[in-house]
Amino acid sequence: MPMPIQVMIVDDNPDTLELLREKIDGWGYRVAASSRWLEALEIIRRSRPGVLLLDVMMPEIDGIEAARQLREVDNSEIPVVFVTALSRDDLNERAVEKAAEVLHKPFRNAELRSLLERIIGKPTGGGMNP
Amino acid sequence: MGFGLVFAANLLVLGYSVIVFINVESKALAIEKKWVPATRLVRDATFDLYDIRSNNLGHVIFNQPVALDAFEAGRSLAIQRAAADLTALKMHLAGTGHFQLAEIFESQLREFTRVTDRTIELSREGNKDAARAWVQTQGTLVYDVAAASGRRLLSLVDSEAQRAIVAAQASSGRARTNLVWAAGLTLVWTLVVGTLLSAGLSRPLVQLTEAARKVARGRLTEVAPVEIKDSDEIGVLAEAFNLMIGEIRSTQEGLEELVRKRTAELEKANEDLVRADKHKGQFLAMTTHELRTPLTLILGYGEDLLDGSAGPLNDRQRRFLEKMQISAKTLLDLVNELLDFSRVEAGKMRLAYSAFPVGRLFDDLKDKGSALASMAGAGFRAELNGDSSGMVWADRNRISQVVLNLLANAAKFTPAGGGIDLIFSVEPDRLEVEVGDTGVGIERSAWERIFEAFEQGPAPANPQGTRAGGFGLGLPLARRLAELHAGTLEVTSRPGQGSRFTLRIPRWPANRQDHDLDEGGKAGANANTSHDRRR
Repeated sequence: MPMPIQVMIVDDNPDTLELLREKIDGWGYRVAASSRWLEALEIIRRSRPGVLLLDVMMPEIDGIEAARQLREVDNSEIPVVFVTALSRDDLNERAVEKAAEVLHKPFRNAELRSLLERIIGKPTGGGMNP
Repeated sequence: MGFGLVFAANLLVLGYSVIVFINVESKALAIEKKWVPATRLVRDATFDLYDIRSNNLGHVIFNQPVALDAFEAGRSLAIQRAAADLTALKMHLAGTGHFQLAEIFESQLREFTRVTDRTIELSREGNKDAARAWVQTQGTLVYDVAAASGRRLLSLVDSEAQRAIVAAQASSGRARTNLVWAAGLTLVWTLVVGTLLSAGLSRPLVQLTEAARKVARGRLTEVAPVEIKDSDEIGVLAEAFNLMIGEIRSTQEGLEELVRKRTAELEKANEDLVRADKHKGQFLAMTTHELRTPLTLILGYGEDLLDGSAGPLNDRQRRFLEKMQISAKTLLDLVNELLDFSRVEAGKMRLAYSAFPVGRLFDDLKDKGSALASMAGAGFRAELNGDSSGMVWADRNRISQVVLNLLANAAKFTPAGGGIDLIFSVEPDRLEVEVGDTGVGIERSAWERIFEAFEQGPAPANPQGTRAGGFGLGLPLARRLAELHAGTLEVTSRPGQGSRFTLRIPRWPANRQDHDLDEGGKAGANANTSHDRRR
């Protein structure tokens, strides 16, 4: 059985997705990434990752709406971090749930790393996950 | 019979007044039918023009095919609406002095449509840069001309409508005064006759008098038809009176209908404005989002390259990369400033107020100022006068942003070996923050100009002899943020000797109680939840 996935990344921009994946994978976390929400949803249901990094403005679905469905339909308790290039003011108008974490793009490595360590702890094993 | 003649004359005056009144009202209605819709059509057409442009800009900025289709659909919809609006408008304006301007506006709008056609062609061919250049040069030029015509036409037609309404109201007022006078005269005359005549004759007259009195007092709805079956003069009088009441009532109902219609139109105009405002906000948010996405990649990979996680760098590569990172950060700052500034200008800037001790802000800014000064090779001195545990009620991030901007400017314009200072003064009712430098200084004539946005005057040279770059939005934004806090930002300077910027903000709004200031410990701890606490 493969080692469980720790971090799931969803971003409609393939370049941003790759950037996040490269970084987090490089720090030794096991990562899965997808630019399609439905595909990501399948991975989340199957592998139950420790945290979900979720873009907000996606053509298929609004990230905040996606997180809400995850809570209500799947009854999932996965911690969600919204990774967004929107400003704080614009994001607030979208009624982000109170408990959610927000990482604003562009971010610094230190911000993202400390966020991950706080939510799922230090990396437990790295490597080149597909 | 003398009194019969006088009475008949009196009735004639009354009838004439009623006819004039009705006539004036129907004229007013006709004027409204011409100018009010014309105003709405011009306004709609200018909105359409704005929509064409927004959608065109969107097409050039965004890349997803779904978005492109939506922008194109939005654009052609707006073009269709504009054509329909202008055709209708020309029908309304035919024969007036504004018809020609409407035609000019129409041809300019058509010209702008052709420019956007070309933009989309370029954009669809994948030539985004050319499309962007085209829309920024040719597009802006033509759009500005058309928008100016639209604005001019709107103001002309609108003042025409205002004038027509005022004139109609004035003549309607005169006709109403005449009507009341005529009714009053009838009342007086009827009273005189009533007292003179015998009881048998006076009963119907009393009835009429009562009705006329109600009319004179404006209680029109309470007047019941006067029921007198006699075929003598009194009977005829009663019949005429009833007819008159009927006419007045239907005129009044017409007036009420007119008021209802006008109110509905105003409500619609208001909704349109709200929609346009929202559109503007969304456009702002989307544009910034799209600009930040590539910057995330540049800064993100840059950081990984610099921290060595992608392999070792030689000194030259590191130096080049550091310069690229600094420029990318400068670009990010500019994007953020531009957004903040547009937000303030659009009235959409919301401050996240919290209470915090002055000392904490001071410590934070002291460290950053010291770092900036040492990078510029300048000396740094910071002092705090007054109680450092004194509380302030403000948007801490925004105040910090203002002072940091002043410190960064000081570092930029102060030559190596110069000095920068940061002085906090905690007054009973306000906080003063001064940032001084020994840099190139600013001519007195430019003291106010540096706070104006997109100022075209020459930017002062920094010590390296290069012009200070950027949009010049840092200081205008800083001043607006100070003003949003009900504060001020000012400068004094002597060329060649240095500048001193002073920020003053009230420590709390005038109507705020002291007990609200006791939770400083939590200030700024969580920017997400402290946001909007007050609103």
